[in-house]
Amino acid sequence: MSPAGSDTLLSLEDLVVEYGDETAIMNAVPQRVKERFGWESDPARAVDGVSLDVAEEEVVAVIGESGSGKTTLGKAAVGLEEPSEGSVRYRGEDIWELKRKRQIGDLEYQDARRSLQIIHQDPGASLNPYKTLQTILKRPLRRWFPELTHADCRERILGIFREVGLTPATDYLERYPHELSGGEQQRVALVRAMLVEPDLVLADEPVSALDPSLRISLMDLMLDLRETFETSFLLVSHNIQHARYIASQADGRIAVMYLGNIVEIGSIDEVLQDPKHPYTQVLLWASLPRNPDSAVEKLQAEPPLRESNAPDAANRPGGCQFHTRCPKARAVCADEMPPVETTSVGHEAACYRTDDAHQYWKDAPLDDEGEIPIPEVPDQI
Amino acid sequence: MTASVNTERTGVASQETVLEVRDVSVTYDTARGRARVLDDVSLDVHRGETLAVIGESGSGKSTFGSVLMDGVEDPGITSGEVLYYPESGGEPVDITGVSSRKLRQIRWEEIAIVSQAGSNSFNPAISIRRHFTDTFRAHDVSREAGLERARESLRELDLNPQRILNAYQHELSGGEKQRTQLALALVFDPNVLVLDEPTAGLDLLVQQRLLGQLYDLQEEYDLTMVFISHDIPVVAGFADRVAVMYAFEFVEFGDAADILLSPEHPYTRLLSQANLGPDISLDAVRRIGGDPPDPVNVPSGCPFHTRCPIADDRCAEEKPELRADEADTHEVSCFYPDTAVAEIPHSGGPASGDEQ
Repeated sequence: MSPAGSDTLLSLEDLVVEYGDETAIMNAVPQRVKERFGWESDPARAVDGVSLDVAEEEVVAVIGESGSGKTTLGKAAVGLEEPSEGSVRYRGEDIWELKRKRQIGDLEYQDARRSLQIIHQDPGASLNPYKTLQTILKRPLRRWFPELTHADCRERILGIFREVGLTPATDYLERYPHELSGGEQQRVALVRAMLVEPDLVLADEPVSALDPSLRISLMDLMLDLRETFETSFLLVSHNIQHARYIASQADGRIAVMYLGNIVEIGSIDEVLQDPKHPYTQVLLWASLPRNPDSAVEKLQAEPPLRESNAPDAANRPGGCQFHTRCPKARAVCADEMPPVETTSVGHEAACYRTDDAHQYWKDAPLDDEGEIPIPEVPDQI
Repeated sequence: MTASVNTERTGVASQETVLEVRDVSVTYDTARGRARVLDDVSLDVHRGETLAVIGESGSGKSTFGSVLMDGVEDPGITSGEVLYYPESGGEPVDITGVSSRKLRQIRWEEIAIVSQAGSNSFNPAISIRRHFTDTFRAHDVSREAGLERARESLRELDLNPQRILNAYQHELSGGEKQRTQLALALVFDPNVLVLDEPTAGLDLLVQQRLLGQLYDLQEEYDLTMVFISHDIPVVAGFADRVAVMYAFEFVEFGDAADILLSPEHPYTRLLSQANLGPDISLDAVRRIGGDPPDPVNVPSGCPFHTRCPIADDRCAEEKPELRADEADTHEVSCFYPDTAVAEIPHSGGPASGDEQ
């Protein structure tokens, strides 16, 4: 699953991340005792064999519901979560091997750490309230660029402040986070991530907690900084509209995750205009329109799902993971996981429905087959 | 053009007032001076309607919600009157002036609140059952009768009462927590429900479901709802009337169709443009320039003039009052509503999602 004709920055291969579902006291129980009494619990698979390449300067938006594994995938991609199986390669080298060896060839582990940065949910709230902006921002600079003098650091910070419109820049250096507006706090949080010149920034629900105007301004700023610094962005979000806003303007891709798997991936236009996987279609359906007439219809509608609650990662259904909720599910879906099929250049989906000749079409539906009304995308492309 | 919106719901809301907010201000004294976080607002809430309150973060929306239950936290000072008209008729009660005993009875039994999703509305150390039983005790309702009612309300929201009542908050998903909060709010069959960003941070499918359930509940119980949100799509399907808040006061107010489809205040037009939606072209989406005002230092004249694309000298000096149109269904505080309509684009009008 990689974009065509560009340099790969980060490469996830058959990535699996499992969490042991054990309480602290169970960790103290010897293994043989657990075996004897049948106290062993199956680990929860948050990420279940994902392969994904991120190119230089690319924007990939990963969307899915809570518990889909999107945040775990993001953390594994930037080296914050060690995979149980599979690999994460940064510029061709396995991050965790690089960590153990500290250096492979010309590539140092420290470079990889600096190059992969993260922005948290409500970025403004992640600033230390007791420190001035100068102190907050100098720390990462001094850490990653020890050769810089204090004066150099100051210059760099001033430069980027001007870039993002925090002017007069020297005024802002001495301010504390609470002396900034919400929009300014966010800009500083983004500046902190960008100052160390990362190659890729993981933005985990960066705008969900914000009001619409702050949301748009933060996303615009991310798009601007991405161009200036030639950075890739891995955006993790539950909101397909936020993903649409960022990915569309950066010509990016969207990856839809369900219970630890990417079930559909492709260019944002392809996926929004022609979603192949029923889960993607359901997510598109769930976005609330702004028009009051359409909104009231949406409130009265039954979700096009067989079961509204998602199973959790510790109790994964067999076959296609989505079959327990999918309105299009047929017998075969419960038996076997559908393979990932390429439906057009760069557009892939894991659903039997993409194959016109598949056994699926001869099977009986598991339920009365429901339709998924998909809203039309208003953009002219 | 207004007739098409929420046609199925006309007739639900009456013109009868259930809450009358008169000249209410809320102030805090801070080291930097007096912060006015609600600035002399007046508004009537009609029985059975859904009144949506929209605006940016820090505009005073949540303060307005807490005022309705006299819930402003110390050291905030509330002035003005909030009159509650009981359904049984009789004398209105001034919520800001009643004894704490009477207030306790009005809260939950008459007016209940569901606060922001994601905020920890439950005490993590006690079970959900205790939250319910503590509430019953405070309202002299027997444990058995109360729990029976609780189970009913939980079931109504598609929750398993057994599991939810035995759970602690960390064992519930975000959607379950919000629905449980809603069940707790409905347990005494209140007349008014105040909802403050009840779906913030929830997955879209969970949000759609919760909002759908709220919609049904309102139909069933003739609830009056005051629905506070910064996301227009969240309230668009519910609202009978919409009040737009900027700088701690209402700047536009009226029938939902007027405010959502043809707003006249420059702020409302710009706020609307910042909202994403599946029916909205990305070209039509933009942020509002500048920052919302500081409550200690609100700009002179029209408080929006510092960010307004059509402001002139008059706006910087003189403050426009909320003025009603001829039909008395639409109030706006702007000197130049016609210019706003002509010069500030507004998308998402007709149902087809056409851009102008």
